[in-house]
Amino acid sequence: MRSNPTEKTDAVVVGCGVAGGLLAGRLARAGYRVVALEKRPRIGVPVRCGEAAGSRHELSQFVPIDEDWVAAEINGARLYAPDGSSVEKRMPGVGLMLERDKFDQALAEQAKNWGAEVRVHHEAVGLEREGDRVSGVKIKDHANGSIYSTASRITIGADGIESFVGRWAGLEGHLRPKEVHSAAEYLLEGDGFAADTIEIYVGSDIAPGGYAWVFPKGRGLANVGVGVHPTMTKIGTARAYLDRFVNKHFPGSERKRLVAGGVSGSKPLRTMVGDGVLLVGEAARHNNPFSGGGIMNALEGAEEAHKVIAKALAKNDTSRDVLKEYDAAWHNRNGRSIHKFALMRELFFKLDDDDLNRVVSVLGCIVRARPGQIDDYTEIFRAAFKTTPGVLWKARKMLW
Amino acid sequence: MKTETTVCRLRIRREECVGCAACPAVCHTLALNMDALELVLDEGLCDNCSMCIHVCPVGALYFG
Repeated sequence: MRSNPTEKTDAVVVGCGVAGGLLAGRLARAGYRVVALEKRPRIGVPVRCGEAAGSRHELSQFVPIDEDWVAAEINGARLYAPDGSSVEKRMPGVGLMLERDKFDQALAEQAKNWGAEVRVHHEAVGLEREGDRVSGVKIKDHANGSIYSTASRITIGADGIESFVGRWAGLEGHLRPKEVHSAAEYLLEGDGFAADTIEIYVGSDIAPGGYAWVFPKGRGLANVGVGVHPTMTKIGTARAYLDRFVNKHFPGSERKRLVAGGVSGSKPLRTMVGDGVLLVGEAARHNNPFSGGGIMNALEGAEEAHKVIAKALAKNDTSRDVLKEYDAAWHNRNGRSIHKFALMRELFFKLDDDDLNRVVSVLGCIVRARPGQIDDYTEIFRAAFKTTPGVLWKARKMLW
Repeated sequence: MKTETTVCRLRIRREECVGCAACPAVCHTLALNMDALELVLDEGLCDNCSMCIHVCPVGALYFG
């Protein structure tokens, strides 16, 4: 059954977060008619993120830096082992803490300035098809509950971890138990946050199969969260572990905001494209499966997607055959390192608290021996896994 | 003759749910959907596999 689309456009971007916001803007800047949909009433609200991103230089490749959405600088990191010992690495300028709501809004404004139409409170509720080809999107206008259709030469799924576009298009299925982390985070106000250093805590009592984080945002604020692997939890939910962590480490602090969500730990998708359809950002499982971080990968993924889509639209051919160049481009840019991080994640599940204590101790030696900048973190961890007694055996299938 | 069957049904604690959509992401039957930030359950599609209960970060889902 085919409905008659009430409008035609070159691209519909489903989801106006980081990947969707950037991609919509770049396609509009290239002269295409773009409609970006955001199911929530406001862009970027509520925040569902740890808000730690890359450096000023890295971010400025995608959007002009606006201090409005910069919460704080990150100049180093400290990793705490289960026994309380730690290793710290100073890395001046390595990253920024963002105000994700304002950051997403800035990307959407940039998209609008370049000519994209951004519709908030409009939600994709299905795909239109012509044969096997995705030809458009069925959309619900939440303001009045009406459903309408938009024909588009390409439909982009930038709709996050639950990506319905991906599932409707048959490009991905549900996340398996092994592939998902469950995370909860408070915005805390209080004392005791290290000024410009992000802190990570590992240990089976703190965050089974995951880690706790303290990301200072300045002015007495910090994002404090815990990510757990649902199959390894003993006392309850991610929130239960978070409450225990906060009560122990920041007992006097005030909980100002609760953020919760799932985090994909999946390897890259076999393919992110179909006829007339393409996925980007968390919807394409672009985020780092080891750290959970996704902001930079979403921006980079959107950049790669834009290049391929612009070519396809110019040729008036948005078939799989033309779009599949995006799979290779992503693999070359980030897919390989994401694959390494996915292996590291699997190894991490096998490490008990004793192993973690030893790995952190070895990491300390390695970090002290390399005082300069570290470009590739996987190399540091790989060196640690290979030289920590007992861990090399567990890692034997996973060393690259 | 009327028979009464007690079925283990998935239920939602609305006051806890933050609309994070982790549960639709793991739902293999698409019984769980989002309507903007509101979680929508199609009980006819749910097969009680419990993955959603396990993944929910705030314990908003349960069998009852």
